[in-house]
Amino acid sequence: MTVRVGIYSSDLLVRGARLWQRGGIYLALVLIGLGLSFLSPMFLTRLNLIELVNYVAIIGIVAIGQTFVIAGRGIDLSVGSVVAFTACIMATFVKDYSIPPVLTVLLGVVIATCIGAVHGFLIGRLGVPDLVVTLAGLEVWRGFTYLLFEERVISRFDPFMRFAGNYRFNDWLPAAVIILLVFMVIATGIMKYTLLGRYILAIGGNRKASEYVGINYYRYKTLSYAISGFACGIAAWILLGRLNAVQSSLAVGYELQSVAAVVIGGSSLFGGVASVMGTVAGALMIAMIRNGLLIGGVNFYWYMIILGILLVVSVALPAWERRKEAR
Amino acid sequence: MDPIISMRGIVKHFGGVTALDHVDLDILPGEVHALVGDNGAGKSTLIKILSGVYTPDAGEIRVDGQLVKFSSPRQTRRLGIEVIYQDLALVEDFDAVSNLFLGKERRIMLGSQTLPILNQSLMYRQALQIFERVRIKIPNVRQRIFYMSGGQRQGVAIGRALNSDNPIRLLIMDEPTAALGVEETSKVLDLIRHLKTQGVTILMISHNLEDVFAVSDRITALKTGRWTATVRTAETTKEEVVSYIVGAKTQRPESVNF
Ligand SMILES: Nc1ncnc2c1ncn2[C@@H]1O[C@H](COP(=O)(O)OP(=O)(O)OP(=O)(O)O)[C@@H](O)[C@H]1O
Ligand SMILES: [Mg+2]
Repeated sequence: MTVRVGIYSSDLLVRGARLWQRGGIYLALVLIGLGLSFLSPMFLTRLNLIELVNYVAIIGIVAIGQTFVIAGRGIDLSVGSVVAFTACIMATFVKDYSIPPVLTVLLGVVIATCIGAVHGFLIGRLGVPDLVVTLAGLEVWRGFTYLLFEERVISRFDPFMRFAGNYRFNDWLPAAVIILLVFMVIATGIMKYTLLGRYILAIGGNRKASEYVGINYYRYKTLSYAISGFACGIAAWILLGRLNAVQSSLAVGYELQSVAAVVIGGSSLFGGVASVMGTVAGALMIAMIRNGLLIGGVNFYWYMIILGILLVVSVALPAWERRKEAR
Repeated sequence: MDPIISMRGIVKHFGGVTALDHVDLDILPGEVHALVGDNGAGKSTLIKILSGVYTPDAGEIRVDGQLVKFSSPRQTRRLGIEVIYQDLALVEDFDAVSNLFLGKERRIMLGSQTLPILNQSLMYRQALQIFERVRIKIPNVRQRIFYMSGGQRQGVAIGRALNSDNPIRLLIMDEPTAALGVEETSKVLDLIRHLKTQGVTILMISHNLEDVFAVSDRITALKTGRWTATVRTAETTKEEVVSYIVGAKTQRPESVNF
């Protein structure tokens, strides 16, 4: 990458990188959308679009939580396992223990939030690096899920359990999309206009400086992970409703997809700068690529490869632009 | 004139290293006091003791004649002592306004209730006033620190120190001109002179004797943790100060009218 930059016009690339950050992503979204509609008659069908936006909602909500973690210079690799664990817990609550659905969802979201908070607490108080704690979390919560549910498949839920992932207003507008939009608006407000968002960004941007002015690092570290846990809880509810069946192998790979959505959306992987709107756009892009490959009948492993490349490029471009402008 | 700050017999050890060995320092109201000395002389350690980052192993500190014991930077800030560390401690991803108000954000009021919501427009207006007061030219206060020059960053750091809820008594600056070019250095020195006319007392650390002679009223020199001299800038020469710094010459403490 760097070698090429030296040979070809590097100014053009800088400008490209900046354009990409400003709004290129939205342009890319439109282009991919147009491309897909031309390439496949299936893309614009109602069923496919609903499938697409439901997927966007799940990944987008997880990625919004991830945005807060990354804003505080962390990374949450446990999201997929937490989603799976929460979904299975919810399923067993209603099915095995006959806990009322509303209470079940509430409990599930609270448990997921607490798991996130515990991660944040361990990172802040014990000084274990973010990567280590959440990588451990990735294993631990998946481990618990398999321990408790093994190969069980729990299916057929009542309308409330299925509401978030299955209900459609006027028979076309999915409830998941409404939830995503509401979450996006609230998260944007928190990030931009509240003390909470400001201080999470501050500890991510410069920990020393923020501690010097009296910002409590542990508190905001914990809160950022709690937000991610909360998002995982909501996503688990949507996922459960969409599939109408849960099992231990749910939600694998969400860590990479959510991190990719965040950095594609223009947030800095190194904290201090974050855009919730961008993250949702990033999630939409990932979901469209996935959807396009699916309906195009392309071998699905290409999705993993493309996603990996996209992630590296999205981190490399701004980092490189920064190096260049710092000179 | 009674000193606002009076440090006596300050001792600080780090393991086997004696960073400060019975150091005395008085700071008079309204003066610009320069602290000089070679690398490792103990300058930063002395101001960290004054700002509450370290506690001294021996010695006493008086503020306005009152014996004080500092245990945290928050405490000293409450007494109106603000420190600008060498690395400035700014959040580079934030703009000037956000840095100016970091940790003391203005918030929206609802009746008598303070909400945890930022009052952006109030902070913006107050920021312009503060920058006006300290005469720092920042073309765009909404620009991120990352894109600012060293002098502008120093300006933002000074602005933040002055944007205190408590009236500022003493501004401590650790090498304010170290990273700056000629033009920016002269701007920061101008700023120090300007603050002095506004009645702000300043303690500055510097390795650059040009700068020290350009703005200071008095100079204190340290040599490997020991006090060697406190002199009036107007009554000394660079050569003499150099000999205090290298330890070729020392004053006798009793000869000094601190
Ligand atoms: N936290 C610490 N732990 C151990 N030793 C320290 C610590 N801080 C300072 N020292 C030692 O104390 C002595 C004085 O250091 P100090 O940083 O105060 O010097 P200085 O005058 O500020 O030097 P410089 O001009 O290089 O900034 C040095 O020998 C240094 O190695
Ligand atoms: Mg020093």
